[in-house]
Amino acid sequence: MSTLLSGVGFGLLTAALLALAAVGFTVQFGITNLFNLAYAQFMLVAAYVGYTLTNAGVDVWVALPIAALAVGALSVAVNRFVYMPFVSRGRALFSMVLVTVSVGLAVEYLIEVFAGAGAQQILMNPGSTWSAGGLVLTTSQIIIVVIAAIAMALFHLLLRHTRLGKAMRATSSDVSLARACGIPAARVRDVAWFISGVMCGAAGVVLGINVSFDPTTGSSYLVPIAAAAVLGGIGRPHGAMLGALVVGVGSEVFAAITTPSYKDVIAFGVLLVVMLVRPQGILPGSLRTDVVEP
Amino acid sequence: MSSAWDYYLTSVLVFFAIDTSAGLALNLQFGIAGIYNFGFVVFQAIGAYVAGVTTIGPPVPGLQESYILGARLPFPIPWLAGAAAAALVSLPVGLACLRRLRGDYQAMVLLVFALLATTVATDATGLFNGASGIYGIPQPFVSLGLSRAGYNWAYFGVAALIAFVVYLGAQRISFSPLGRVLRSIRDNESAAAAVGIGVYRARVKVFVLGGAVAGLSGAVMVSYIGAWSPGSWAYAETFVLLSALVVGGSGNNNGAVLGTFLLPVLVTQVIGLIPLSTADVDVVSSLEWVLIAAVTLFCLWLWPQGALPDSRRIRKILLPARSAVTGEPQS
Repeated sequence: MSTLLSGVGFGLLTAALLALAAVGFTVQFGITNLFNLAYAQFMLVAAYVGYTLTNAGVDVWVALPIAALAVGALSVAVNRFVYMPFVSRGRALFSMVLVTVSVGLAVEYLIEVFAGAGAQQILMNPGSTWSAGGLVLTTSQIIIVVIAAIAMALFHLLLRHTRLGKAMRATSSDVSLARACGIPAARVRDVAWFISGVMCGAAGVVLGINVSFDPTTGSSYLVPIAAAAVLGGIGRPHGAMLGALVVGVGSEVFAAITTPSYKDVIAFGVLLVVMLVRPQGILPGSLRTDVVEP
Repeated sequence: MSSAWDYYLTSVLVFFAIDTSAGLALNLQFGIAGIYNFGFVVFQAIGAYVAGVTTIGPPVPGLQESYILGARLPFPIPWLAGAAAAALVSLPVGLACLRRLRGDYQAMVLLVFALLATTVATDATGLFNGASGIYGIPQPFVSLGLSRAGYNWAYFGVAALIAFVVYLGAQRISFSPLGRVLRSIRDNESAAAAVGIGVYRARVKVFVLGGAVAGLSGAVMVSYIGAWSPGSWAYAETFVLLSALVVGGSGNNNGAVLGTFLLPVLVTQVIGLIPLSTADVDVVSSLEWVLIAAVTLFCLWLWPQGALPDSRRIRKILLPARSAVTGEPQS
């Protein structure tokens, strides 16, 4: 029972990371209609920025927003100057998948050039330990969960109750129509990529606090991120939040009961089942794609 | 030519022949059928693993090794077993991934599959002997008693023969009715489905076929180098082959051969010739990946059709397609 509860505790922490990551990933898909397969590598950039800053004596709670903003800027730049030019050059000629994977690979190995292949971790004072029943979390872990929850709430408010949110949702569902209504789609897209990049960066720093990482860690995080995003219906932020909770808690509880190394198997299982049974995700609605039925 | 050079040259040739088989198989899937198989290397790894364990014999009791199927089968059987195993695994993977999903969705799932496969292979120590993998796999033609360079030449002969047979097969498929069906799916999936083509079935067919050749190429590789570990079959290896197709001309088998020569073989070897201190080796091998990624982006930008384009690609459709992102009509 206590293993189960400690699994839930870790699960909440993982869910916090995944929520930040998966919402960013899904927003990028929604707004630009492309899978940014370099996403996990961007997360890792944030982890390394956070690591470098904390090593230089910066407090981790200051380093986190700096790294997040830096990756936000990086995301906008990559989208503006790499992805969008390729898209407007002609999607019919090749899929953007190759472009995003190329960028991801380049980022991954550039990190290795600058930071080395060794494993690092952002070290910090975890604070005092809090326990309720068998659920044990440190102060810093609680702060991380709270930060993620606040970020999700703010993002929800942004989407539902601001003009910008409305513009983002409109651009996401139909670019041409949005533009015809006078929405500056290109600017909205930049803002969306910045916000999602900030979430990606925050998730990366949380990753660096939670586990030790090396340049290849990023790519392995694509598995649970994709699972969470797809479970909630790709392109749908609220679904990704739900997906992150299910995949995060599910995989950690599974890991607590069985072998820790198999936690990604749950994520992949989720991905596979969703894909086979309900590719549009668990929320009601349909998949936003030109799907050909077999 | 000194024997060291002879040895070096022949091993490069062996790798070229093996990569050519793999490149042609991936060209069938990616170039002709339009499947972004980022999991390609997994099927090579499966073929290699099965070929390895059916050559090496049962685990030695004292050595703390564990792997499945330990057997010592005579020469061609392990290779065929490797190809069969890869085909066997690619069937359910293809059935699951190629159904109902659009291309980049499939690509993401196959990439995730490749990432997960590496983790599982490393962690399932009972099945794959963990990160250290298996080593000391006996080479197939040792009994001939050849010199080191002579052995390499013989091995190259066999690998080149396989590559040639794969090339002939790929050409045949490429210009067969199946090839036309696959191209039509690649160029316009909805139109292909509308005229009654079984999109899903054709894709699964080429996925399994390519998987078998991938397994075979992995088997030929593992018998040559004599060792197998999960780390050497990471997802990035597929990317090199995909880049080779982009550079050479995806959809064109000659382009696939050219691309395999240019990218995995020539670039790697030229970089390998740069004299380096040991400290720089890691940096340069990382930069090599950055270079391959940059070359891919560069070629996608300038010559998305590659050096030898597929003449049968439908580039213009009657109605200009709207970009799904910018909403503007494309040329």
